[in-house]
Amino acid sequence: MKQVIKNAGLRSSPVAPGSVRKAHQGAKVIGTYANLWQRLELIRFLVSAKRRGSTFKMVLGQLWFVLNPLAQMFVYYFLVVVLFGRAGMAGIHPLIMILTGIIHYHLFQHAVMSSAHAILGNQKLCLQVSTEPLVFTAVSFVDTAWKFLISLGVYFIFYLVLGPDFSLRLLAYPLILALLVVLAWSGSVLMSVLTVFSRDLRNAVAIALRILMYLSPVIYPASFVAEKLGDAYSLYLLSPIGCLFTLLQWCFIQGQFPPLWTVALLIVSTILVFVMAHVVYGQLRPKITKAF
Amino acid sequence: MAVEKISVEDLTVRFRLSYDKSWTIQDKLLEVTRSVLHGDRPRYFKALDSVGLKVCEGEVLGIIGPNGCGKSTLLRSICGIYAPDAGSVRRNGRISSLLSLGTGFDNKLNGLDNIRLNALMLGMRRREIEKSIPTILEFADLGDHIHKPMKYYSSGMISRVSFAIVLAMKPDILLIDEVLSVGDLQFRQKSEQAMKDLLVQSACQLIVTHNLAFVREHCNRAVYMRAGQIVADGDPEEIVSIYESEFKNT
Repeated sequence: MKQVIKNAGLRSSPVAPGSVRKAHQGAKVIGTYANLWQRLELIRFLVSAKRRGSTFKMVLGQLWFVLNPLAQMFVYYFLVVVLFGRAGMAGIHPLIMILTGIIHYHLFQHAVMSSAHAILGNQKLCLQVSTEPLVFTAVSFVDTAWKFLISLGVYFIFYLVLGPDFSLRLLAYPLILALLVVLAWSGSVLMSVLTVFSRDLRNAVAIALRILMYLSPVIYPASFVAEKLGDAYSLYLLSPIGCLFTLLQWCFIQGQFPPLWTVALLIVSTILVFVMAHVVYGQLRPKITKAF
Repeated sequence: MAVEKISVEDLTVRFRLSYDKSWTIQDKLLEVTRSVLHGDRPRYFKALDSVGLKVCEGEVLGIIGPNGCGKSTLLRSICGIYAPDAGSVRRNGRISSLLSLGTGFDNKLNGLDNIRLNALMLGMRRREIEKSIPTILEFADLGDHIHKPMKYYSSGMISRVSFAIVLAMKPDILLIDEVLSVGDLQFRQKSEQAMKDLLVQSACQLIVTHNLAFVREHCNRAVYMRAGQIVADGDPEEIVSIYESEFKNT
């Protein structure tokens, strides 16, 4: 039942007696996730409240979560296919190609951007109740993931109607999705904690994410890049997001499989980004409440 | 021998003053230039300066002192909100805090949902909350208002709900920061009785207040804080007199 708090560091839930705090010690990853696990009911409740709040007094309510990606998809379809006349890949409907990229990039982009306000927006609460700040990041992430699942459902309907025939490549999708989720979660963790200390970051990252989208094969086939860049294409695939979306196109719309070493690099860099995000969070966590 | 519930040793908590200084690029560049050329370090303010405090079970500790002396920072450090920069805080038991009114409430939700939300925030389990809801409702005594959105609640009503939730946690250590003064007379009497009942369950209480009469009447120990340090610790009557005499002299 004893708790010791020494010079910054671990934070425990108010009902979890028995933790120790030591001088200038960062938060341990396992400790952080144990705290999150203890707060699972709170996360569920907050996600549900957020969902209800975001559609409060709206006529179309949760339908907006389907309409938003659909609207964006049609905008890109108009720009890329109708206006610029790029027909996409042979045998693949351009809508499917664009939707594959947009839906998945939205998960990454929204997870990172919505987490910018996760801890900062709950600063009053963080100063009144001892809680794991990452709880708020998790709430924001789960909310984004839930919206993504709705969009994914819509995507699969389109895919069944307009997409190519079933391929065994689709079996690789869970692994690719897992990599995307880990990257998105790591980005959320970094973004939520860093914006507490530098609020400019939110705008800078919003621009960076927009640029990253156009630099990655999200709304165009990766084969276009391969044609244009030639030997330099391998360098292009050094970007984890570039490689990930090339893999997605390979999985869904029969695109080229990227070189194996870039896939290995993607896995390694995903793990590294995850570790880095938690190291940064662990180091900055004791300073969060003092920085508000 | 009474069980020690809280032990604070040489606790120092400081805040960087310059956090709010550089809002413009010009200021930021100046700050960086000064730091590089003159080795200027960020300035810190010590909210708590080597504070030592032990609280045992059965103690109702009143913390008094002028504004900005570190009372709330001490409570937040004990609670685990502020990480110590030096020293340590030992807590022995389940801790529950009431540091501000309405924190953790969502104005759009009704009172009942807010009870669930706030109790989850304070660390209670869902099953435990559902079991405690009748007790909370009885203590808060809000009648049908409990089904109305919280944005229609007065501060007194919010105080009732907040306090009822904290009590339902049956904490070993209860930390309260100047939030009981908003309830009406009937509720104040009810809360004071509930706090006395809590003591029977081997709890200790730390109460930050400017209400010196409350400290005299309800606390069995008091500390007087000034400039981040505890300057007097002992019998409430004596400590309040010291505080009052210092206040008169200034």
